Amino acid sequence: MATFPDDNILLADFKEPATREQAFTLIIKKYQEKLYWHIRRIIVDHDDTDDVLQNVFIKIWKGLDNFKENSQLYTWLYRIATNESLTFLEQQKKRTSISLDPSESNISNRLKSDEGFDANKLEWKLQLAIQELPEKQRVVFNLRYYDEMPYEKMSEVLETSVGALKASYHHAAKKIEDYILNH
Amino acid sequence: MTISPLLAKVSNENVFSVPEGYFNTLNQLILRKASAQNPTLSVPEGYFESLSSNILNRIKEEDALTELRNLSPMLYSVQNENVYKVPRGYFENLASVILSKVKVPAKVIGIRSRSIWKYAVAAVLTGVIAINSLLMFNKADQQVAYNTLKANPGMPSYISEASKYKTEDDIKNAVASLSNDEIINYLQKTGTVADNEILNNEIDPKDLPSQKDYLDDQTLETLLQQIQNTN
Repeated sequence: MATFPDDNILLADFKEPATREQAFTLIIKKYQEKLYWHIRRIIVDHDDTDDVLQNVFIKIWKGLDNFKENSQLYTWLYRIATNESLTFLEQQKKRTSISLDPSESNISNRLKSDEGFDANKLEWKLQLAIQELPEKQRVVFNLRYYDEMPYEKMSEVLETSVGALKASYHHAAKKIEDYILNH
Repeated sequence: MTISPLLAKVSNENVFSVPEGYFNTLNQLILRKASAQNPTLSVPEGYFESLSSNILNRIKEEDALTELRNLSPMLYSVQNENVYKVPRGYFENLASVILSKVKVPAKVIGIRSRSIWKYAVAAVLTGVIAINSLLMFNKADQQVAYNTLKANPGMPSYISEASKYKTEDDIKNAVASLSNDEIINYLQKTGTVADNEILNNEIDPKDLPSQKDYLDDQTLETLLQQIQNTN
């Protein structure tokens, strides 16, 4: 696994014109997979994920000079990625005028249309169950279940209290369990 | 007593002496010596003050796996297999793709101040529009149309310029002589996909033709009517 410089070094190098592009490239390489999977689990489709991820990094390029460093860099990156993903879903809903009922969501249909989809496999049932969750609860579940993000960090990303996040995650886990057992 | 009666008679008195205050200053002495040997070692400010609370917090916080095991043994048992596929080479190329989108273009989009090229592209293309509309009428009237255009005192200069192009071959040759940059500049200035913000930042208003030089719809309609009346 490749090792990358500490975030404070990358930020310092980004501020210098001579090393700006190199530092930005390293930031991309350091966080691309984490952010990609975070977005992909919300949006599902690869091409849409690619669009959103590129927009995220372009926003990072434009905003990194103003980054206050009062939170960790990766927390800030996750926050941008989350907001962009949720905004994308909102815009997609408006474009396609899909039903607000999660059970008829376009994303569930996209899952089912994936060439590897197998309704009998537990891993696919888990994905369908996750897509049944309201969007923000889906984000909470993904961050805790897949990224094992501490609640304190999640609180900075989602600007929600730790208590609310814990309750949301526990509730989500139970809903997912019920879905899998009943399908 | 049973092992060595002689030793049993020796008192348990410490015969060694220690300088006064030795143990009180020992830790500072050691730290000072350690710093002297490794002058580059440093500790973040406030590290030791917050160390104990950080450790306690970590002990209290349940890690995600333990939490999941307690919350839902079923979910805990699900193999975390990734069902989503990623195109081969995607991550290897992503950084270069993004960098190409954020880097400032080497070429600045701008309007050149040389007057002949300022109007040449507009002249050719506007001439194409004007002359082709005239071609809808009788071909025999083309010479009349050209003379009318050229003779009109209110005619903008680039229409006079356009009157030099008398045949379609003249127009085609003139367009072919334009460089790609000039055509791109013109299309970006007038095309629907132009990035207005960039153009607004790059164009010096003094380089643009003034409003009176543009051939508006009313002027064009008046000209066409004049040509028809002449015929």
